[in-house]
Amino acid sequence: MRSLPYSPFALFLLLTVAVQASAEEWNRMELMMLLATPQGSEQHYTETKELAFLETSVVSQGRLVFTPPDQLLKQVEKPDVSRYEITGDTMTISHPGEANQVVNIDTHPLLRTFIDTLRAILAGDLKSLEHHYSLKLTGTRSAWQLHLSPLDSQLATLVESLIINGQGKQINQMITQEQGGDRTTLTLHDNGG
Amino acid sequence: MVDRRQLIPLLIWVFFVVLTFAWLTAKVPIRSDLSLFLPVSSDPAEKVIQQKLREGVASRLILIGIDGGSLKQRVEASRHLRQALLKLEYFERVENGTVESLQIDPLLFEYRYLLSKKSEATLFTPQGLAQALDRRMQELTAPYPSPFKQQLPQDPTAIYPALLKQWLPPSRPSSVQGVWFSADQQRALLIAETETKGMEIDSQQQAHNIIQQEFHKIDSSGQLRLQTSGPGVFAVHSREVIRSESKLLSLISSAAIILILLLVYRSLRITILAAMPLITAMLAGSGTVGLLFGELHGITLAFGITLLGVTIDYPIHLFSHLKKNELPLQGLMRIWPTLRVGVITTCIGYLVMATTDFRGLSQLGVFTIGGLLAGALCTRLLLPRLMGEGWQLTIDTGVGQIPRLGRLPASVMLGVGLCSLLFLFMQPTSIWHDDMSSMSALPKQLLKLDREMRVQLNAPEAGHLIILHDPDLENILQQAEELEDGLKDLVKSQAIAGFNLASNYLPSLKRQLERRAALPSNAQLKSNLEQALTNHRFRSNLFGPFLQDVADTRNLQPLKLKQLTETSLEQQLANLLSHEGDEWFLMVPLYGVNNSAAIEQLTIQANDSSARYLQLGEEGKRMVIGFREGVFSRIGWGVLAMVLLLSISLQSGRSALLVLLPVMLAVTLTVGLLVLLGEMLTIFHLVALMLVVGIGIDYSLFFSRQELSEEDGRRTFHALAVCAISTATVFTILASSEIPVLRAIGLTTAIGVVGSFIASMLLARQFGTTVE
Repeated sequence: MRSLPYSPFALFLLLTVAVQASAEEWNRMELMMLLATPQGSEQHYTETKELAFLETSVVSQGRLVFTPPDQLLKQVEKPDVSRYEITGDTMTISHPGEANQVVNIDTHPLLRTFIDTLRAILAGDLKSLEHHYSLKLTGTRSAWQLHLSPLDSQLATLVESLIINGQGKQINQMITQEQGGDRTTLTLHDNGG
Repeated sequence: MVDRRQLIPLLIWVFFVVLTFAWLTAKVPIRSDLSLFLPVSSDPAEKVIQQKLREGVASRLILIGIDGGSLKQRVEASRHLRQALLKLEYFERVENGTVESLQIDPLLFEYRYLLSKKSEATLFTPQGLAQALDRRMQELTAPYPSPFKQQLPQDPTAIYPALLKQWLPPSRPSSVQGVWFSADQQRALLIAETETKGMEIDSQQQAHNIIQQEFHKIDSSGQLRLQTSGPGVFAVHSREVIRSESKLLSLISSAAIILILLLVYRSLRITILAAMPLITAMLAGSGTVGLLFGELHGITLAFGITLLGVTIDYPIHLFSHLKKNELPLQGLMRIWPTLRVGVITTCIGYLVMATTDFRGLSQLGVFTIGGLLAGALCTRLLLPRLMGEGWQLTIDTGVGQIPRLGRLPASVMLGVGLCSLLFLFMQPTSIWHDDMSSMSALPKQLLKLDREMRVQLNAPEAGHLIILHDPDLENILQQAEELEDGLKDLVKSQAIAGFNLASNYLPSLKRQLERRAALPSNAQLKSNLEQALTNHRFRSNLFGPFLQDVADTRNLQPLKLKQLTETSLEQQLANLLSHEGDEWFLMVPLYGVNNSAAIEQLTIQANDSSARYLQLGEEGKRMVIGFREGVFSRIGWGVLAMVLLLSISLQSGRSALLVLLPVMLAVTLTVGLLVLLGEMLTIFHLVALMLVVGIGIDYSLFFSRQELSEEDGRRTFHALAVCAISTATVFTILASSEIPVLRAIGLTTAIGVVGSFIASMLLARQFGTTVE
């Protein structure tokens, strides 16, 4: 059932190794300090899901608000309105016309990992990312790429890799490559733009 | 020092000691499980529950709490402890709220349409399917991974996740970061299930040690505290506490007795001789139990030894009554008739216990009778020979001065006795502690911790359940299904917070066949699905596996119990269904019981069902009361036998009653004082009172003897004073124990002995008689 993106993946690895040498002075510490957002962030996003089960890809738009240390709000505005709000261990899901659903993010082990990952990325907390993933930073300060591959075997059965593209302290794009070929691309727009 | 005439009896005794000891250690197993000391119900349904509690899964659970440190430390410790314990073979499972990645059970997945309550006809209509597909689309596009994504083509109606939800326990502990916690977040909670039963103490001890070891490895900061509870832990604790307490207490008591004897008789030899009847008694007691029961219980041994402490009285009588230059055998023969009656009446008291159906108590009774008789025989046959001739005891005559008191103190004593009786009759509440826990050898704070942790874990209400029984499994499952609506109403009206029904996991054949019959035909389902898919982006042939699965289910035979025992549901079912003899028993644990009357009402209304509401606490109480009443009626017979025996020995019924009067007075005073001290009386207080009666009769008989001379009287007083002081000392030491049973026996006997001594001295001397 698995599609095999192995060869392009290997190619990608080779490339990153090649680029790494030139980015000697550009290290994770520096990225972490850049990304750290003590006041939090609010950004518009466009999300594209390419799923094997669906005929066409699904595009949605909305706002992503992160309030350190652990509050995360994803407000979907198009095509349908819905709202996912995470505070600490609970996630509140609201669909218009339905009762709010409150879910403990520990009801499913991968849900916690997933949410913690997202929070750690937005907070620039590379330390905690290192618990779950092996990290590889490539590129330059003005165009960097952080590549995460899961260390946990459970997570690895679901997620193949996470790729984060950015420039300076701005995260531009998060790509979640799932096992089985499904892919989610989350593009963040600078708030002013 | 020892001549030949002394050597032979000594050798015989040593031979007896060595032989008995060797036989006991080689052939008589010392049991340490606790079930022997728990009463057994005669009701078959109650028996099943008791067995479940004592031998079933419930008995294998160890509740673990982690206190202290910071919240983060407790969360981490809980996770690490679980990981560490799971690696070891001692534990079947360890839970702390952590959810493992979803394992989809192929068998349960295959039967999902027969098992799920959701598989109604509306689910497969075009509207129903369209709604389900809407939901799936929502889940797919949600900003988090869907755990059931892989199963979507087979299960677009999400019946399987619904089943998993249906099987969740009715209530769970609160959790912090996915780890179980008490509501105040002060204690992280885990449950470990051991491989072996809770009553198998050795393996429980191992499991318990391992938990402690692993915990100490994890708790590097030393700020955390480990709390454990559960039947196995109780068993381990009981044994440990009883062992260490009885060891410590008997050491202290022995030292105290040796000191008293040395002070009184000022002879090492006498002190050693005094120990011989005691040693004989303990070995003979163990031996008798070994012969009659084929085993000896550790608790019998611990409690029995304390009771046999009284055999030290026999040599004391002999030593103190001995006159200057009198042959020991001569001296003994003077007091033997009186002593003999005392021994036999004490034995009658324990015969009462030996004949109860409570195996622990009957062992204890047999142990004591065997011991007392052997101790007396040892005093009668062995000691005089070993003492030799020309015995000279330096008894301080000052100590032996008998206070000659008139009738006034005697009347005062009678008055005090009457007041005590009146006080007891005027008690507004029962003076008896009838809870099952009164039988427990455990310190109170352990029981409190257990209750606390069970509440924190949101465990089902201990002791509240509905039980159904029927020879036929299908019938009993149908009965359970019929009960479900009523139970749901109880939840709605908040009479209970929840319930756990076996038919929820294993529906009756009838119910499964109904569900099978309700499934749509292939063509019907296909056309419905096509209609539902019109407005969706799902790939056109994505749901082929779904159509196939529904078609396959129509050919499935209903799921049977045997198949389920190979799935993860086995555990749940083992707790809820049980086959005993020719009957099936189905148990419905209840959660958060608020209104017992409403539950009772439900079981009464279900008239063609075998449903019965059991409150184990109440049943336990009834059992304890019934048992106590049984013991009481036996005590009645015992007292009658004592009166008869005394009447024959004293050749006068009146004298017998007069000997018994101070004893009864002492018992009344003891009970009055115990109640005044705030003690709730248990069966073990009764056990100790039997001892008090025996000792009291002995004192009363000796005090009431018409002595030949002033000197004889002084010797009697001396003997009884030494007996009373040593016995009271030993049992006061026992009363300091934290084990409720030892404390009960110690306190009662210590008070009773002092009371008996004073009452006998004041009363018996007034109405003296002599055993012929």
